[in-house]
Amino acid sequence: MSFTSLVLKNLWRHKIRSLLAITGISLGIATIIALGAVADGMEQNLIATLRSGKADFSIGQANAPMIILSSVPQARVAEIARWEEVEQAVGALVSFSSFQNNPYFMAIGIEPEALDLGGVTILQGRPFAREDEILLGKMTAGTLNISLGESVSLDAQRLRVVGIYETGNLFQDAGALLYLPTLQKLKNRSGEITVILVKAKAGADLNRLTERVERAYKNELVTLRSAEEFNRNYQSLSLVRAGSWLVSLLALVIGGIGVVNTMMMSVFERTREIGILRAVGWRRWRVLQLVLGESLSLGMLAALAGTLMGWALARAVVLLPQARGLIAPAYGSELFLKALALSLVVGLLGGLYPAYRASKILPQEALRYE
Amino acid sequence: MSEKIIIAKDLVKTYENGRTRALDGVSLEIFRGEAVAICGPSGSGKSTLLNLIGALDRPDSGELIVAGENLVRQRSDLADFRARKLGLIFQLHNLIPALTALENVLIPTLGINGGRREIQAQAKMLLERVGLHDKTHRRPPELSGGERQRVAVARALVNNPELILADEPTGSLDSKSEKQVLDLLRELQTERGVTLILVTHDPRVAQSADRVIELLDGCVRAPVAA
Ligand SMILES: Nc1ncnc2c1ncn2[C@@H]1O[C@H](COP(=O)(O)OP(=O)(O)O)[C@@H](O)[C@H]1O
Ligand SMILES: [Mg+2]
Repeated sequence: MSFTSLVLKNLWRHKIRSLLAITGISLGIATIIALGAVADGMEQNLIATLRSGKADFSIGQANAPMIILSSVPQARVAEIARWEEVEQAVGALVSFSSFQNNPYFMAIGIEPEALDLGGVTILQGRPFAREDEILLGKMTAGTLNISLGESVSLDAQRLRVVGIYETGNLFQDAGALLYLPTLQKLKNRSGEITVILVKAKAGADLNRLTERVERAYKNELVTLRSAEEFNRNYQSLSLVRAGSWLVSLLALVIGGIGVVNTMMMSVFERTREIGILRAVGWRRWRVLQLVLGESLSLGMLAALAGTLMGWALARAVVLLPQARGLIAPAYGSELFLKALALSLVVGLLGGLYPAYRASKILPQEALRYE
Repeated sequence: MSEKIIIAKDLVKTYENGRTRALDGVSLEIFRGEAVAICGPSGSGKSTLLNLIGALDRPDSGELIVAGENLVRQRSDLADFRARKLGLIFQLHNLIPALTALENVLIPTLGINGGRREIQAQAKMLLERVGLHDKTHRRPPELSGGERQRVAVARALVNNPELILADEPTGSLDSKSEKQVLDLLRELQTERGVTLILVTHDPRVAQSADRVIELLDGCVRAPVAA
């Protein structure tokens, strides 16, 4: 028998109680995993959406809380397009609109000349040429069963479907493309775009070009070349993430109370046993380790159970008809590490006081047989 | 046989802020390899004395040196001392009910890290020695009182102690098991050359020792004879 197996045995002795404590933590962990996976998935899709196609990099607003909330003056497009290292610069406005009966439908406003740079392949029909025309993503057309020539409503505006496209990006293919001024008018955002897509001239130094942009528009624009840059610039402040941290905190508190309760009960019941351990030569520190080991194991098991539950929950969300294939959860290792760290912290904090109490048990008191 | 393993001088231990004087100036000397019984009626201070010798408690005043360690001066946690030098046996609550006999024997060795395989073998050997080779995987509730105390004897020896302290080890056994456990203790004590201190209220049990120290109201009654 090893110390570790003694720890696990002690948990196993009160299976139901241990299970309850584990459930308490793992529910929180499951929520964090599910929420996080869905949020990460959406974010990654969004990033791919805004970075897609043949562009070398994109430009967004500096200090925007989320990329979707980025706002860039449209005038910057022409300014940057004139630079000699720049082959092409185009603006795109991304917005959530109500489409048919879906209130969170992603519509992208863009100039027709920019479709190629955006990586758009027309599967049927032709590009839009007029203000009242729209292109539907392949998944939009497929799930809603809309075909060419039909009239659809976007934010209560009637538009005619002239083509169906594919980009390979989940968000884009579940959205629609239309003429930039039309979307600007619908959203009351004329002169404003979300991102600028930039293609550099062949042989241009991309590093110097992006530096030039950031120097020229200091504190106004940031360049985004990779998914990591998107994350760095837009993720930390996002509302979803703040919400997920709030849930984490709640899980920490609820799970922690469960662990304290469980471990206090278990220490109290084992006063005599702990007295024996101390009498036969265990140090205070060793007793502390034993109880902390038990609470940490509860945390670890909860991390495992919570991760599985969270994964299942995210799968279930994806299967909801409302999700319509819009959400592809992303299970990053960061998310799992966060869940593991969190449950270990809960186990540690929840076990601290009970372990301290256990280490204070006096052998001669515990072993008196009245 | 002349080396002193325990030297106690004027040990005083009070409880409840001095209202109970459990030990009232106890002095004694015990030699290495001896089997000594501490005998006296209930409440005479036997367990209190044994707890002081076993470094489970500290005296209010007096001198106490056990196996070369000054237990009065020593301010730190004495767990290490117990782990290295002592084997303890109590009347009840010796064993952890959820663990098997073998695991209970191993419990003292889990206080420190290291060399597990040999210890496992030694624990098995000890259980064999106390006649429980076929019950190593039984838990205490599945063992008789005598068998439980034999497990406790094996546990007390697993760390190769210099000194075995037993507080009424046969106090809750029938006379047949009592004899078994006492014989076993004496055999192992001589076999291994360890010192045994046996606390008992029963003069018949005390007879199994080489020497008897009598306690009454916290004082040694018969003078210590070497
Ligand atoms: N922890 C304690 N608190 C208060 N009184 C105690 C405690 N331990 C022992 N005593 C008292 O000290 C005296 C000696 O007790 P003890 O050493 O247990 O005697 P014995 O083991 O000979 O029966 C008794 O009067 C007992 O009530
Ligand atoms: Mg007693």
